[in-house]
Amino acid sequence: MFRGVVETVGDTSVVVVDTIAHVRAEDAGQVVMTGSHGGLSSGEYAGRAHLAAVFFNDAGIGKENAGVAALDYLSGLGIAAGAVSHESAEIGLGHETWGGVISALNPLAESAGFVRGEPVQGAVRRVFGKGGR
Amino acid sequence: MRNEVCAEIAGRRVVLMDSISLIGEADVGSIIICGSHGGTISGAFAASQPPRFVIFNDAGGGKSGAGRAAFALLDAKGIACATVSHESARIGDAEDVWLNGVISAAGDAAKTAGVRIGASVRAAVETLAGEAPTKHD
Repeated sequence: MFRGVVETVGDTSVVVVDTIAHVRAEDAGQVVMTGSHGGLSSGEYAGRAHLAAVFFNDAGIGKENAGVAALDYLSGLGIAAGAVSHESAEIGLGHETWGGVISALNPLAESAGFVRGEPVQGAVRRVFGKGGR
Repeated sequence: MRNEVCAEIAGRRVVLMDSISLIGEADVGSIIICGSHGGTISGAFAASQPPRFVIFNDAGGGKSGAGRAAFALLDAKGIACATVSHESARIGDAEDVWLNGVISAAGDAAKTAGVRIGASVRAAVETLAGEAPTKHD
């Protein structure tokens, strides 16, 4: 199960974790890419640290939009959050999320400059890169 | 996050576990209904404390069928596994899987034991619980 920093953008590290259960307090202020679905249980794990942003796999969205339910939950905690399409990234693999295409965003992530339909890597580099914020 | 025994069927504990990352020693030989997707990493968590049967959410299948990728790993270890449709149960919510989940796919061991696509989770669990013990019991 992978956990590691894959890139530094400006002052922000991109931390890849296959499962959001492995998020740590030290990830506060960083961007996390997880292979986990964006359901409420994942939101609980993600909310344990004040992340700069977190991206999940949308798990096909599914019943009652459960695959992205964490996005609203994290809005309430002041955390920008989004998801990548389950057709663009293999669920369970953080590296795949990092290579995925954005399918859903919470209002905080939209305000930060993320856009649905674009690859998450380029978006993170733009939003968190020099002059991006 | 929910992690509790909800029933005992044919002497086996049925555990509702919102995330398979919560699995522990007490879960060996049990029947686990989890809210997690059935990707490889979920299979690895499950195999660490081998249950009799584990049911995941199929996460819509997705790229390369990743939402069911755990089957290969678990079947290789003789652990019965299945998924429910992501349209039948909320991902991350084990109780919804238990009450409303519809089986969308099953590993070889589960199919051999009689688990059928389209069955309710309760029916699939009763089918498995009635089977003979495995090497993990």
